[in-house]
Parts: sequence; structure tokens; C-alpha cells
Amino acid sequence: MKKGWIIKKALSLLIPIFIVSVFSFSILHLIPGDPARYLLGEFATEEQLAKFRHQLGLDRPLYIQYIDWMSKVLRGDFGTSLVQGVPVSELIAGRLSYTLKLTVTAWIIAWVFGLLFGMLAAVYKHTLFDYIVMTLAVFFMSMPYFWLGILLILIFGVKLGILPISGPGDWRHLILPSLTLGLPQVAVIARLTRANMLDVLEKDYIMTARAKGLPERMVVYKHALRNALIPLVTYMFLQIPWLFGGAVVTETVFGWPGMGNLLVMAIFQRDYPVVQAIVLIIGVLTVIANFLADITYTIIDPRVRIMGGE
Amino acid sequence: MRQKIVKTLLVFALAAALVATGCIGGGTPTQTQTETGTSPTETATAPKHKVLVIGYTRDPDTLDPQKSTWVDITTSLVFATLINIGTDGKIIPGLAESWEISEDGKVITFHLRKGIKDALGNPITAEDVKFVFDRLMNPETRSPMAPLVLGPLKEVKVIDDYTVQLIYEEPYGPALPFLATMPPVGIFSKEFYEKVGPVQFGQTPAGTGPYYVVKWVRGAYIEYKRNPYWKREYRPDPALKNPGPPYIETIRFRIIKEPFTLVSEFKKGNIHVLLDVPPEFYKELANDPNVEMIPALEYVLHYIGFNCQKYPFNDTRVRQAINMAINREEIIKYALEGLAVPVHGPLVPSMNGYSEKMEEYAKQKYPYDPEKAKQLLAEAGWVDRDGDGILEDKNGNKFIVEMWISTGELEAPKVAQIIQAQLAKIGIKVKIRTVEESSFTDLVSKGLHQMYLLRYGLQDAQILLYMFHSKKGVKRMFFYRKDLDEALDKMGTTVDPQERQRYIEEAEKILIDGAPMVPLYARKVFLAYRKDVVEGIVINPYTLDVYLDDAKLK
Repeated sequence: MKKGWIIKKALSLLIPIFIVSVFSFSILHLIPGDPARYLLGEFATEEQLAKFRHQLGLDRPLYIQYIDWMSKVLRGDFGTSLVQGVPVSELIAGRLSYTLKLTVTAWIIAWVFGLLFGMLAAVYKHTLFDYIVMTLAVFFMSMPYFWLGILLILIFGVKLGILPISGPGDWRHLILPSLTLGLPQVAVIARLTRANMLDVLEKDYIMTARAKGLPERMVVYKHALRNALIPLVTYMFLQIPWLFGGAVVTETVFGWPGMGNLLVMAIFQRDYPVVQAIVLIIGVLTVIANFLADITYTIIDPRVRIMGGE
Repeated sequence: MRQKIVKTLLVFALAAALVATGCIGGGTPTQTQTETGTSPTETATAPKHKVLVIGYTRDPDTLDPQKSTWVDITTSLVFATLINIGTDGKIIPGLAESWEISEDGKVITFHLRKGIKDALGNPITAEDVKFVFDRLMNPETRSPMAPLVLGPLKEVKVIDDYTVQLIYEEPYGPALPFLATMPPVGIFSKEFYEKVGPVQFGQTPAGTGPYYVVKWVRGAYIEYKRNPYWKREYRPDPALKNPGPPYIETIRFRIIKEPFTLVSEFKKGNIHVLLDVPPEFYKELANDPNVEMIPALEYVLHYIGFNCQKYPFNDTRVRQAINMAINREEIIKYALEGLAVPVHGPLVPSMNGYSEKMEEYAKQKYPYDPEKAKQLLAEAGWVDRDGDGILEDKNGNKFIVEMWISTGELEAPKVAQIIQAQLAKIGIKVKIRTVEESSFTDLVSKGLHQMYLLRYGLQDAQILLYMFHSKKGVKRMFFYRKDLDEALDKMGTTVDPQERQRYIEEAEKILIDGAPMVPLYARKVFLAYRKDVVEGIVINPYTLDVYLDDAKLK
């Protein structure tokens, strides 16, 4: 792999990141309602509002505001929350660890169980086990996070009373929210794994391996699974934005004090700096995740590079 | 009780929000606090619970009541006011033991109690009171509530350590009720504020109220400790007995936005108080033997507003006809589970200045009578000329209107559909359009609407000035009358309650006759608490404040 290729690829990220930054900046500015109205209340006169907007520099042309904001962001300064009067970075820092705890746990659940069930479903295809796993997969994939969360609370929190329902706390408090966020992903990964495994198991080299008299276990786990995983590697990265998106809803349902919860509140309050920062972070993460997916895929499967016109 | 979305009007409505509290009865509290656990050293008399946990659906922006767009129990626990409105509706002393109003109504003099300390032991004198008011008046503070609470306040003068004067440009009608109920004028120590600075003051404030904040994990919980210097005389309410300080040492507000999750925690016993029972869970909790409910009436009017300057609602007869076509009982029964009271006039029974006489007048003037409504519409030129069930005017324009509802009102879609059906009966076709709540009032104030469904609320009739005055009010219904402005101005500058009541009723009559809106209902709200955990919670029906002074944990 040439270094030049990676650098070129990395430079090509600047355009989507730029677009993401413009988008995250303008999204709230372009809809009605503004922080001045929110903060000063309904009885503020137009003069008071104008003065306030001027103090915050909200009356300048949008592109000037964007440049100002971006130049600060590049120096690592996300500004101050208009509503809470606290630096945005501080607000996010307080919440980031909660969101990471939640998403990482969900991510682990998704891969451990997704791979396990997907593989077993492929090995035992067309058995009752396979049908049950695949039916459940469709069920969890089509469940909205919100509804799944409520269902889990009802079963494990209220009826059985074995798990805490909401709020942060010890590891047990993590179980229900991370299941809510993880289960739909388990379903996606199980289906992908099963499909890829079945694909691979019919390939010539598997026939060869079997013909050589390798034990079936060896065939499945060493030869088939490895090759079946290649397309899944990209999903590992592509799933990151999904996890963050799902976290917004999940955190609200479970009273989990993460970034998603903060974002929802900030949108209502038209707290520009907070919304801009969170949307930008998630946007940039998405771009980077796509990039990493590209790179790993290339490393794993050299054919992609040839197609890339190297 | 039910904390909904921040609409400043509603904010004011709930300004003197709810406080819930718990106490440690009997035994001395141990150092180790667990939510429901028992301490190992427990004796037979000591309560099992150590912390009162209150469910809370909002994530506050700040706990600084002068900067927040929303004040309620979370700040009224921390800041005591100079005077109070008692559970009997009368104005009673507070940190001030007495006060007098000058002849011309422009100067209110307060005489502070001696020896007041804040929760951390800092002495409170007239200097601190001046500091609080000066900070609220300062435009740099950017208090959303200042214009309302202070009105035309010009300056605050310290006469001596225990005497302070509020000097107004002109008399301010609702001065006393607002000074008695609003956390933004809650008193705190200047010394404390200067020591911690504005940011920390907004995160872990301490003041003169029965509790102070020790920890706030944003999005998760807020924890309060009792103020050891709190005395009953700082709020000498006839309904309260505890000489002070509060019995319950620690209160924790758990922030959970999702009603289902919140109620599940309450049923499990991890939360002991629900400030506002979500209506969909009312029946279930009402039947729970462990749950006690305290009812109250929100001072918030839900109403249909018309754009009175836009065809077809620029014709008074059309608006009056719709007033007769709406069946409030039906709305309350089918959209609100019966948990509301019908309102016909511009004020709600729990608002200061409400007049039974005017409510009755409105009820008589616009009974539910679809036939009469059709007649009025025919007089205004609206007749079904082509037999399709929808009215047309003389130019053949069909009576098809758009009604806006806000995403911030959970029950709005249901209510709107019933209104839609009721108006279809008299030949008006309503299209419902949902508008995102943060942009709702912006769009309405531009006059882009025909009719809309919303709410307004405040503890005092002064709300009418903010809703309907052509210059001092918000832009909503565009119903402007000179005589209405005059009555509202008089109401705003008359301090004498009886004289002021005259102007309130005058304004109400103009509003009823002119029908810029259809008043619909006020919600019944319920505070629920677990009888097996806590007792002695008191709600003030006039301010909806929740008092925890007498509350004890079991």
C-alpha cells in the first residue's frame, strides 16, 4: 500500500467535513425561533431582542458568523452555551463519557451476539433455530428504539423487577439502555453474517478444504468465517453514526445523561453553540468512520485498490 | 406539577412552581444516605427512608432563578421571598415582617425580620435585598422574567439594615402578588454570590429558602440539603406547623423526561413524588392503595385563538358563532380523560383576579348551540350554497381554514380533532397543521395564521395585558380596541385590589363580547406521592407551590 494513496484519500475528506460543518452551522439558523426570543421571553421588546442579538453577534451575516465560529473551533474552542452560560466543551465533556459508555457497550453486545447468532444460523440453516433467530432479527430491526426501550423497562424493570429502570448508576443501570441500543444492531449483524457465511460456504475453496478432509469445525471457523467477515468490517465503522443517532432517543427514554439528551434540549432552546458542536462532532465522526471503512477494506481486500485505479 | 415546554407565558404561569419535600422524622439522620436503603444503626423509631426522591421531567438550563427561562420548585425551594401568598389566597409576610404602600402607590416599604441567615449562615440585611433587585434590573443579567416581575420599578433604596424601599415610576397593579410568588425576587446573600461567581451560582445555588443545592449532575439529578437556619416565620402559612428547619434532610430530583419511565420508577418505589401525574397514568395511580393524590387546578387557559384581522375571522359574528359551536364537555371527556374544568371567560378560577360574575356572563352569552351558531354565520353571509356540507360566502369561497397546533402540547392533536368534528357540524372545514413549538409563537406573531390552539397562563389577571394590549402585549390574536387598552392600563397601574378588580372585569367583558378567542379549559393536575414513604406534603392551591416544611419520611 502506498503512503501517497492514503494521504490523497485523507485529503479528500476535507470536502465532506467542510460540508458537514456548514450544515451543522446553518441547520438551526435557517429555521424560525432564535435564542434571543427563548432567553428573553415573550415580553421582550424588539429593541431588547435586537440589542441581545447584537451582543451575541447574531445580527452579522451568516457567512461571517460561520467563519468566526469555524476559526474558533479549529483552535478547539466551541464557544459558550447561550442558555446555560457554561463553555460548550465543558457541557459536552460532562456528558460524553455517559454516551461512550452506552454506545461502546451496545457495540460490544451487537458484535458478540450478532456474530454468534449469525454464524450459528448459517451453520444450522433451515432448522428451527435458524428460523427463530431470523424472525427475531426482523422483529428487532423494525422496532423503534423508543418502543423497544419501553418494552424492556416493562419486562425487566417492572414485571420481573430484576434490573434498574433508569438513570446512571452501577453497571446494572447500563444493561437496559445498551440492550435497547444494541439489539437492533445484533439483528443487522446476525443477518449480514448469516448471508455472508452461506455465500462463502458454497465457494470452491471450502469444497476443497472439506475434500482435504479438514474437520468441519476447522472449515467453518477458520476458512469460512474469516472470509465472511471481510464485508462486515466496513459495517463496524459505518454503524458508529447509527449508534449515536439511536443514543439520542435511548438516552431520553432511560433518563441517561448523555450527549443525545443534551442535544434534544439544546435544539428546543435554540442553543446554537451546543447544537453546532454536537452535530459537528457526530458529522465528523461519520465522515471519519466512512474513511476508516474504506481504508480497512482496502487493506483486507487488495482488489479494491486495483479498482480504485492505482 | 406538569412541567411542559418552555413557553415563557407558561413559565410565568407556573412561576411559583412546585416544591415537594420530605423529612427525617424522629431519629437523627445518619451520614450515609441511601435512596431506599436502611442504615445499619437503624432503631425502631427511625424512618426507613433517608432521601426523598422527586421525579422531574425537565432538564433545567440553569438554577439561577434570575437567568432561567423557567422557574419552579427547583428554585423556589432555594429562595424565599419578602412576602408570600398563603394557602388561603391572602398575602402574608415572608422575610419581611411588614410592609406599607405609599399614598400614590409608587413606593412599597418592606421591614425585614432581624437575624435572617441564608442556608450557609450568611446574615441577610437590606443590602442583600437591594443587591438581588439591582441584579434583576440590570440588563446585563438578561432576566426573561424581569419585565414582568418588576414592572416599572425604578430603584431600590436601603433605608437602614432592616428597611428597604421599592420605588416605582408609576404604581404597578400586580406588584404584591408577583413579589410574593416569583423566585427571581427570591433573596440570597450578596457575599455568597460574589464568592462563588455567576456560573457556580447557577449550578449549586444557596439562598434563604428551606433547601439549598449541593450537587447537580446535568441530565441526571439535582440534590438538595435542608437549610438549618430555616424558620416557619419566613413563610407563616396557616397550613404549616413545623417551626423549622424542615424534617427531611436530603431531597433528590431525578431528571427523567419520558413519562412512562418516570411512572415505572414511581411504581417501583425508587421515586416517591410525582409533581405532575401524566394524564394517561392517572387512573392507574388513583387506584393504587400506596399512592396519595393531591389535586390542583393549573392557572393556564387552553384556548382557540383567531387572527382577528384576517378573513374570515375579522368578522365578530363568525368568531362568536364558533364560540357557540364548541362543546367543551366533549373535549374534556374524550381528549383529556375528564381531567380538566371547562372555562368560558378569559380567566381561570385559580388566577388572581378571576371573577365568577364574568365567567357566568360568558357562559350565558355563548351557550353550546350549533343551530344559533349557523344562524350567526348566515347573518355574516356564510351559507352552504351547493349542498356539500361546507359553507360558502357570497363570492363562493368555501369556509376552509387552517388551525395550527404546537408540538409542545401533547394533547393538542386529540383536542384539535374534536374541534374539527364539532366545527364540521356547522359547515366549517378545519385543516390541522402541526407547527414545531420553538417556532410557533414566532410564526403566530407574524400574523401568518388563521386560527390556532394554544395556552396562556399567569397567576394574575395581568396576563390579559400581556395577551391583548395593542402596544404592551404579544402579537397573537391582533384584537385591538382602544377601550380594552384603557381598561388594561388602569388594571396595570391600580394597586388597590378592589378598585383593580373593576378594571379586570371591564377588560374581561370587552374580551367576551369581542370574542377574539374561544376559551376552552384549564387542566386539573395531580401531585402523587407514596404514602408508604412520605407524609405531610402541602400544596398551595393559589400558587401551586408545594411545601415540604411539614413533610416527613417514613
